Amino acid sequence: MSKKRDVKAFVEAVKATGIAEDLSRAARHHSAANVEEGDAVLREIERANAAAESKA
Amino acid sequence: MRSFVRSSVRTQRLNRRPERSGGSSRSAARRTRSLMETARLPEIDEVREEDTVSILLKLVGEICNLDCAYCYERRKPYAGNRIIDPRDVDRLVDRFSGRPLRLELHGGEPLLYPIDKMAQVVDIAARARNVVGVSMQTNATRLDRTWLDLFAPVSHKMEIGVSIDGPDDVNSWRLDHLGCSAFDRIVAGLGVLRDNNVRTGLIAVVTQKSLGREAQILELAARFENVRLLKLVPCYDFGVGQALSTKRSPTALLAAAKGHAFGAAWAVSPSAYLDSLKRSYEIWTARGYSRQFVLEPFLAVMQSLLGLQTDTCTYSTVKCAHVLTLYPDGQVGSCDELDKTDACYGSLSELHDVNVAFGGCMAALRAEKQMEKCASCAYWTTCRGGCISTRERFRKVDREDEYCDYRKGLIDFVGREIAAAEEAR
Repeated sequence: MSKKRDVKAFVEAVKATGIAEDLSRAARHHSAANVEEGDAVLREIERANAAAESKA
Repeated sequence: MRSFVRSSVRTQRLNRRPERSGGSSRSAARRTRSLMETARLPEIDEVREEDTVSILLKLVGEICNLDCAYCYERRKPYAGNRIIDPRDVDRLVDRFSGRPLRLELHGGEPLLYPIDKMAQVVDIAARARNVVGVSMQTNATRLDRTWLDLFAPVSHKMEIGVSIDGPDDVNSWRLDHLGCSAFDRIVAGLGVLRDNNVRTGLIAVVTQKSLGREAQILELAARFENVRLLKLVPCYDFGVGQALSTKRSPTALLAAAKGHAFGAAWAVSPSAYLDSLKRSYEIWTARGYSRQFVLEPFLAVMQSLLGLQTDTCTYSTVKCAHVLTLYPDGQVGSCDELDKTDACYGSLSELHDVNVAFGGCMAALRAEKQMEKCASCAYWTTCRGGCISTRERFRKVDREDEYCDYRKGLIDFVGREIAAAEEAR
């Protein structure tokens, strides 16, 4: 997969897993590793890739 | 109460603010007055009832088996060798039983906390239905199967973050008290997490030694398939002193004695940090790492540019009021990044309402002052002002513009990347 397609997939996953501002609010400390948030994005990329492969 | 409360025009327009069951007409009037007084000022948000509050538990204060040269915790004046009483954790969780909480096991090194007391904290977190998450930031050197078993009751809602700056020579500000490298012990801890399939985040502090070594830093993260996030945080240490109450190793003191134009020997300037981030991004995307782990702060900036909520306080209006810190002496304050004297709420028994407590502390006044500058900035809706504490440090030495410039540069960079990606087919 090209770099551009990777970035596009990442941006699409951020959009898909994102929550509109003002609806879910928490502050994480600078030292907190937001694993949950990051993991949701990665799982969405995996899901989208799997869906695209099965379509093809 | 000062007008830190941000009854933002945008929030009011969207009318998404739920009714506060405990809200009085007096507080409503206060919010309205705040809005009128500061109608043109973007400000940091008050804590709503449904908001999650993060509680940093300084389980062992500044006590750590490492003596990292840049550690801010070890520069604070602690009363010395005290640890948190689990009953204080229980009281704090109970005090805020009506709202979601996230407990962050912090230190010093949290795995130096006695195991029987940690079991009590885990039990509190497991039982309390309002504790929606538990996280731990550790150097991982003491991490083993025994600890993971102890955390099992909360593993479904637990995140583990490991501090490692990169390969051994990049990580070399992080030595133990004998001046020996901690790298192999940290990597061993990461191995324990990998072998037990624990999804993990890494925090890498960007220091002088990181610059130009971005490929090796990302390669290290990629070695561990359980690593789902790498967060690159800048080390903006200038004008830093040492706490007289904390013993430092000779190596740490020697490192502190050295310096360069910007500040401490390990410190980076905002522009150097920005350049390093851009290099990291190029490597992250070019090598396909973006499918393996998330790179922060890029996720936060993207979320912000796309109008989405981010939990990263430096790109959100949800900031210090949403963070509580419990210290070993039973005192409670706002975020531990803030000067404790500016952001201390007093003893746990004195804390009832986080909005009132934060509104009454000096940090809120500083935040309010800082945000005046942001009011007319075109980047406000994405930047959100950054970290109150960091900005204050830059403001004190009249270098705030450098901080703003790096943030604008990063937002522009990510904006261009999003635009280019959206054009790609």
